[in-house]
Parts: sequence; C-alpha cells; structure tokens
Amino acid sequence: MRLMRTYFFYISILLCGVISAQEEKEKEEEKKITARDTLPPAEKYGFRVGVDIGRLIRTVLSEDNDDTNDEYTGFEILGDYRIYKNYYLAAEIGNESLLRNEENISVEGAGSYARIGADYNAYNNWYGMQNSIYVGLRYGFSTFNQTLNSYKIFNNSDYFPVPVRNERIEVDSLTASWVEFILGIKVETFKNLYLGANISLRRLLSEKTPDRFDNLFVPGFGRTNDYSSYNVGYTYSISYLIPFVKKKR
Amino acid sequence: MIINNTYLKVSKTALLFIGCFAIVYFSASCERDDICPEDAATTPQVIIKFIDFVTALDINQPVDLEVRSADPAITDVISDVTSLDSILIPLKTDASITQLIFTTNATSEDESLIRRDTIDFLYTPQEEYVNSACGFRVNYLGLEVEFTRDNSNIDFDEDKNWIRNIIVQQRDITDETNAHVLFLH
Repeated sequence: MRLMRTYFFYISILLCGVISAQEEKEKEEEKKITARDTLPPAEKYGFRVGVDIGRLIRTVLSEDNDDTNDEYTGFEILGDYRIYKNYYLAAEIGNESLLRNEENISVEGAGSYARIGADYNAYNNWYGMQNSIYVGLRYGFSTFNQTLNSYKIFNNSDYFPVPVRNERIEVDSLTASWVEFILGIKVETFKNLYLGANISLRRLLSEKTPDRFDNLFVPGFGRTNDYSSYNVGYTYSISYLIPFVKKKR
Repeated sequence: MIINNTYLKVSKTALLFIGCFAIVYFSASCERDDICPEDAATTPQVIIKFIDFVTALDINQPVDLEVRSADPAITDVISDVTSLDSILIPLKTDASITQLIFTTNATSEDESLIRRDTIDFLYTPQEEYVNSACGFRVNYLGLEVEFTRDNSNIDFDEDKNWIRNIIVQQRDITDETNAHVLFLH
C-alpha cells in the first residue's frame, strides 16, 4: 500500500510536468499567432483641421434676434496633430465679440484669441476606427478691447432721478490668459470627416482690465463672473483629417 | 456590420450632443449673476446725526422732521427720516451741489412752530465701478456743508431757523458706517 502511494506520487509529479510543458507550448503558439498580424496598418496619423459650427450658429441666431440683449459674432478654426499613439497636439484660433446689455451697464468685448495644448484619447477603438473620447488641457491667450457704451449709477435711493450715462469709453490692447480642461468626443461620420463636441472648464490666470471698469467678455474665455474666475464653454466642431501616414497600433 | 457601425456612431454622437447641450443649458441658467445684491457697496448716502447744541454731546432728536430737495421740480419729500437721531440723505450723483430743506414740526397745524433751514451740500462726485450687476457707484469727496443764510451765526432767526451749527465729521463719503455730518440744534 505504501509502495502504491509512492508510485502515485511520482506519477502525478511527472504528469504535472508534462501538462505545464504543454501549456507553455500552447502559449508560445498563441504568441506566434498574434505576432503574425496580416491586417494592413489602419491607424491614421495626420493633421486634422476644422471649424467651430457652434460659434457660427450662434452668430447667425444673434443676427436674426431682434432682442439685442446679447449681440454675438465669432468664429474659430481648430486643428490637431496626432504625435504618438493616443496623444494629440491641439490648437485653436478665433475671433469673437459679445455685447453684454446688463441692467446697469452695457459693455462690448471684442478681439482674437489662441489656445494651445494637448488631447489624450481615452477610447479604445475597434480595428480601423478613428473615434475618440478625449480629455485635453489648453493654455489660452487673448488680446481684445472693451467698450463701455452706457451705464447707470446704482443708488439705493431713487429720490433723485438717475440718468443713464452714454459716455462711450473704448479701451484697447487688453490681454488675458487662462487654462482649460476639456472633455470631448470626435466621431468619424464619413471618411476622414469628423463631428466633434466638447465642454471645457476654464480658469482665468491673468487679465488686464480697463482702469475705470472691468472686462465683461474675454474672447476665447467667455463671460467673466463678478465672484469667480471660472467659466464653462463648449464647442461643436466639424473637421477634416489629412492623413500623412498609416501605422499599426 | 457596416450598418451596425454607422448606427452606433450616429446614436453615440446624437447622445453626446444632447448631453453637451444639457450641460451648457444648465450651467448657463445657473450663471445668473446680473442682479445687484442689496448688501452690495453701492452709492453711499450721507448720515446726519442730530446733537444738542448746548451740551454738544447728547443726541437731540428733531421733532416731526421733513427733508426735501430745494429743487422745485422735485415735489416729494425724502422718506424715512422722521423721529430718528440719525438719518440717511441721498445726494445728487450728477451734480456737485445738492440743496436740501430741513423742516421741523413740518406737519404742525400751528404755522408759528414750523422751523426751516436750507443747507447746501458741496462735494466732488467720483464714479467708481462696482461690478457687472450693479454698474457704477458714486463717492462724494471733499464734502462741505453750508447754510444758505449769509452769516449763519448772526443771521440765525429763532422764529424761522432751528439748526445752529454744522460739523462735518467725515469729508469723503464712501461708506455708510459712521455719521458723516453732525447737526447741532
């Protein structure tokens, strides 16, 4: 009996060795299969360029609107370049203006801006697809002017009538800079044609304000808030990819 | 497979667009900061405190006080000034002089009890930006308060006037914390 057990023991050890050896063999074969990829390279690398359709639509709507509460014009050109795997260099340039007719003040801000930064595509595409769900960081810079059209002196007492002052003050060569965090998506709807949308959280870093009043609209950044340096923005883009090379993943 | 892919793409894009719209709409509707809050430091009013002329220290509350602009175009009286030891008085923001008439026993039926003084407030209005909701405010700098009667001491008529002396405590009116002007009577 004791002898029997000893035999079983040795046999089982031997079997284990054989099985593990077989497994290793299988693994090696698997490796060989994955290495022998017969699919052609499908990851497109290139320069993608587009426009912000959201800003264009807003411009058209603002023109048609009779209620001239917020007169807006703007356009933006955007582009990105895939540098490595899921990493993209990205930049936007644009020009916009907004007239803010507030209850006690009317100020128009107008000028040009540029943003530069990078996107990271966190979406794992199927073979041959080039869609992206991405996060991005930008540094934005803007040069603009602010025009004070009219204002009222705010007074808690209405005993003396408060006239509206129509003294027009235009202040040029103002600047602002900000950082923004972007969350967005780009979907290839037709070959090399992408529809995109993103939202961004922006934080103002610096701004040069007029001596006598404040920046109410910073092109590229958006409306400023009296109590916070944060703002949110959005972009709807249509862009075209000019592919330079195709690479394997 | 191709149809399936296209369908997936379109539905995904549509979903995302709707999502983005919702976020933007929501954030835009929350962003209303265009109402000037009541506690905001806007244009200050002049605080006048009434002091007893004899002791020059004790508070002496005028009886049945009425304050109105000397400008005949303004017929209203300044509200909320009766029976208080100190009152808030608005000044014109678009002029450097405001002329006001201070009357005691104003509603008295006995005409002989009514005492009246016309006071000039002279100052330099200085505009200052507050914020986008409130717009601008005015500070009154270098305040001087004068009687309209030529020589206030000699011309004081006990049957007509009641304010004997004026002391300006704070010449630059930028807030509403302390009394700016003392009226001795």
